[in-house]
Amino acid sequence: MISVTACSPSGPGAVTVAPSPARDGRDGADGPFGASRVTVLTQARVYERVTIEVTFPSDATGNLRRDRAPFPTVVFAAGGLVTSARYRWIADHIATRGFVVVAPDYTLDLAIASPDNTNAALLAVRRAAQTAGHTLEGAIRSDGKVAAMGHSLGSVIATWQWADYNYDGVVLIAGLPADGSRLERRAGSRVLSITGSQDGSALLPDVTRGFLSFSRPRMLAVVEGMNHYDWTDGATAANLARDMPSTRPQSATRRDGMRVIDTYLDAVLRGDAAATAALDNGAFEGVTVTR
Amino acid sequence: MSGRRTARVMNRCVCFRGALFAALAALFAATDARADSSVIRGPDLGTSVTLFEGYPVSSRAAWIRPWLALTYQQRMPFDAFGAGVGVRRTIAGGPRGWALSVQLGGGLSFATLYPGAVLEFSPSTNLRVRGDWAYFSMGLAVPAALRLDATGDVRIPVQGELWLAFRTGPVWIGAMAAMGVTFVPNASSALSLQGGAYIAIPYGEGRASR
Repeated sequence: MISVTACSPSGPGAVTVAPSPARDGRDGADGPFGASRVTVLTQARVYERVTIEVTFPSDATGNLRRDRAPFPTVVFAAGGLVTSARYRWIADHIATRGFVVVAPDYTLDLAIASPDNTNAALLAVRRAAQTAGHTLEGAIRSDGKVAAMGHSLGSVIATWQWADYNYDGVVLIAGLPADGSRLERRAGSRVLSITGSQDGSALLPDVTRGFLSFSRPRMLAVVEGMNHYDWTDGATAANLARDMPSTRPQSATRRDGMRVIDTYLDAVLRGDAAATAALDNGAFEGVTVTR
Repeated sequence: MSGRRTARVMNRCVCFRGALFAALAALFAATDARADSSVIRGPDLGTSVTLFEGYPVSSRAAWIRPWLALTYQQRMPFDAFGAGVGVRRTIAGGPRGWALSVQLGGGLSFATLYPGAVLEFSPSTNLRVRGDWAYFSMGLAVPAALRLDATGDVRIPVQGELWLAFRTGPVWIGAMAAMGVTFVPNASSALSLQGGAYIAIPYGEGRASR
């Protein structure tokens, strides 16, 4: 499949988080970089349009921090019937810690309907990063490290992309792999499955069963008091009707959840030894861990 | 006196045809279309013009022979556009009542987001029933496409289609919906969806035989 950069923004991105050297990105908090967003268009399956939100580490004016680039990449697959926009808080947070987040759209907002939009988006952003004058010029390397991340149904797609395209890591947020995913191809690649104890959509026994289908090294992190739609902004009444009530403030559960995800990304995409040790042996506040 | 009347009638006739032709030309040129000449899978009305406005593809067909059409197709909003030809053949049944037919579309499009030529090939078949006032068909189409560049990217959708139309005066107005799977070599398959509304206007022999 081809993936081509169609739209070539050359100016700064839209600043979503201002940079702050006072932030250290530890303990689930934002990092020191600013975060900015730009939209990239690409074509998949000959000529189907894919719109991609790319959130990248920036300065206060929305320009890529080329002095610190290239950055590792996180490709994000949205949950079923949920737009990428509702995960911007995750993208912003991750970008402030020095990662480029690539979030494509999908047919009918169902990642399962056009799963390869995910990898097409990655290829498009890699191409953009090689294009002189592009906003994302130099942002990522074509052979740079990549993790797939997905929420709910997006976890299925993230797992497929990780398995089929040899991504370096995969994070399943409140989801599980589909039967038939070729997990054995990536035996030995570190996996993080994270969910909330109050998730009424992806039930813990199912998530646990999915988690156990991965080989080690692996971690299942259950955030106390967090429900399914605490991972998204703008939860609707219909969303919440299918969920269980949260039992802790969303700001607290999100921070606990991101602390684990940050540790995983630092370990897998940056090769950080302390993060790796924490994943192997550490405890995380507000989170129950199974390995 | 008889000559004047004949002249008036002829003038009226010329005016009517001119106006009709202008209206058709304007519709054909002005409406935005979107690539796959799905329009050739619509009702068989002989020589006719069909304007199909849909998602993600719109197309136009001028059936200059009952079996041969010239087509224009565009992928919305303007991601690809192109032209081609379509042919159709009834292999069982007749113009009224039940019939089984096959169509074959082919064309060349130009992708605009990432400029490049795309070769299109659309075999299809449908089972249709047509009365005086209504038309219905169900069929199977494979509107495949191939990029004519180094990528050699291929898409092979296989989709089921439903077409419905009703006659209103000289024209037929209808809708279609299609759903299936797009197969891509060495990649995951994707959902294929298509839909739209259309107007088919017989002319010449097609109008006379409606």
